[in-house]
Amino acid sequence: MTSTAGPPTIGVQIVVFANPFDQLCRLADGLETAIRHTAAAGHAEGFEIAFGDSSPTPLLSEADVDELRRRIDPLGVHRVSSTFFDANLGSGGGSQRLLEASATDLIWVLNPDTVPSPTVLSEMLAMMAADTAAVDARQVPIEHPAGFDPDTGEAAWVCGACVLLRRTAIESVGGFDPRFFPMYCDDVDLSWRLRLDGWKVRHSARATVFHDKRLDADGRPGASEFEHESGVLSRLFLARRYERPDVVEQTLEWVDVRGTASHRRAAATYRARLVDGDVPEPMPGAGLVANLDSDYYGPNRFRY
Amino acid sequence: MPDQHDAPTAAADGALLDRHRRALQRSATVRSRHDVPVASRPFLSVITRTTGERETLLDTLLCLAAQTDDDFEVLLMVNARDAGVPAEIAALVDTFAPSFRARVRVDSTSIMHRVAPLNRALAAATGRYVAVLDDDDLVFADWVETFHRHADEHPGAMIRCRAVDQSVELADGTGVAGATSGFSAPYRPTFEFASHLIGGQSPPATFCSPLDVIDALGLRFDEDMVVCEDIEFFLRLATVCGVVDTSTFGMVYRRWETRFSSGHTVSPEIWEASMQKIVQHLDDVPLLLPEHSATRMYQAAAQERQMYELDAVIEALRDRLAPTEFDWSSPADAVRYLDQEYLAVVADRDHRRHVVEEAAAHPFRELRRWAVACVRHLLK
Repeated sequence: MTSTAGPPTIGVQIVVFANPFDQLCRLADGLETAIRHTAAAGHAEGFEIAFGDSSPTPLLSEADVDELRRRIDPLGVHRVSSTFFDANLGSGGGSQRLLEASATDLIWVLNPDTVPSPTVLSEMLAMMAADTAAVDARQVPIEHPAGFDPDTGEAAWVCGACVLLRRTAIESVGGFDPRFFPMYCDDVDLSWRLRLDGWKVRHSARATVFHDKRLDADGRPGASEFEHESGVLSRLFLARRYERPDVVEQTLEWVDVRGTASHRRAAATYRARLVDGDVPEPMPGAGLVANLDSDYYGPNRFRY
Repeated sequence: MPDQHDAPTAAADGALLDRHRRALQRSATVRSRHDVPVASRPFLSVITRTTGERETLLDTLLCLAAQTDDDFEVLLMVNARDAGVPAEIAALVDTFAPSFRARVRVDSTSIMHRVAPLNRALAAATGRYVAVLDDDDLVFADWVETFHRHADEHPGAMIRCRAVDQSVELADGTGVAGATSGFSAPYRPTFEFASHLIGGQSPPATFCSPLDVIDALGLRFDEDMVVCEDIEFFLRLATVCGVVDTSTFGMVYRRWETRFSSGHTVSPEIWEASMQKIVQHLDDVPLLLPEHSATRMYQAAAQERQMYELDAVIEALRDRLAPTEFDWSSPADAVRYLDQEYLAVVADRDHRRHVVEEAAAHPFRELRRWAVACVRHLLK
């Protein structure tokens, strides 16, 4: 299951940004079930649960952390903590900061708007073969359309909303890249770098996590203006890193001609950060694993 | 002089309304079901029937555990042939967080008619409202919250959320339901009584219904029905309570491509017979119709008149047109023949394209309208 002898230790990482406290309580209740189920089966031990706070002001008081601790770990066995970053590090930057502050064998990254099922962690662990660096979970009620091999679970990339990572593997490729700021595609980038390094990334269809996404008025998975902006910006970052200057050029042209105000903000940010040298650097040969011709950055089973 | 069936008496209407009013008073004031104090009753009782499909039930329970409004109980009605299944389902529930599993009651029955567990759950429910959630349905995090908010604003009414469809199939090896399509939204955005008489326009979990009104009416799911018992139940209730639409998409209705389901195993004849039974049940009582019904009835009547006009014209043409292989007693064949004639003499492709697009949107009505145009052209 891991390179270490005996059951692996697991660090749970949740980067928050002004999330409602009741949302975190639902997440905590789900974490309790998943940890209880996994620990009882002897599949893992030594859990550490770390909240990383990118909010403008501290989101969690001591009492809040105590309440989350009580929900996650009623027996008081595991370590539950919260770190205020005093800056918005974004999802990738926050995950990297928490990763550097821990030493567990495996890292379980979760979005704050998720609720783990009781079996999700055990199922992801079951798929963490020796050649595997990352396993993600099936999301409900909006299932992610990314393709995967139905027999092996092998995928082009894994989604960071709920993913189990092997520390030695991600450290060997440099971890999360904070320059994928503020969000999106830090998971695609990490997956591709892991695959370049020879690792497999897999999807576990049996591992279920609830992800609180809603539908818009047309019945489609909605995206906010900020999410549209982040989506374009992260696409430009990926295209730059993975040797697709043509995609960078096409994307910027598309934004200039047909883009919304959000898209234009993303293009302006990219150009400004390019001048500042604050963008992911190109990786020679990295285009081997990249798929920038698909909206989904890889094969997809269906479209929304 | 109209017969009594066509003209319900004022006394009958008055009795119906009185019954409705009494039920609403009970719902809004102190009386509660089975003498449970109102303050102790949850907002919603969620009824879920299962035969033991653990993988899909896990997804459904997870969606419930993730609700933003936890003012609900779950009545999990296990109806399985295998005696070991209830214990397995109870064990599955026990894996969830204490705050959630304390609100789930598992009730085991042995091979009851598939409808019977619904009535058993209705009898046991303590919520002020009730919703039926299938064991393969998925709901969004605000499903209960949306119902709750609208029920507070419209006490005593049924609340309806919107639904999307998604095709799924069981993946080989894992036994897990995997999506094979994106979402479609085939259901009417707002509740319309008549459209529900023709086909399913609302999966059961789109409705949230006041339990005290159900009790006052003595309403139960019809255990003689093989399918459509939910449509029958909700339409009968809707005639009394009315339906308040929400614009929120609350659920994903999973449409199975291969798995055993009533959609695959029940013949069209049984579906049709069930729908006819619903109409018969509704014929037995006076109906209160929602607003705008007069306009819709007028439109339906106008369409019927147009169809009558077409039938008359076809009758007049029958001798004039050459004998063909078409069966003139079949309106579909007649329209098909006329379509060929029409194509032979009309070269207006833009018009044809427009008509075809319209026909795709409203196939039956527009096909008739198109046929009328064909006939008129031939008569020139």
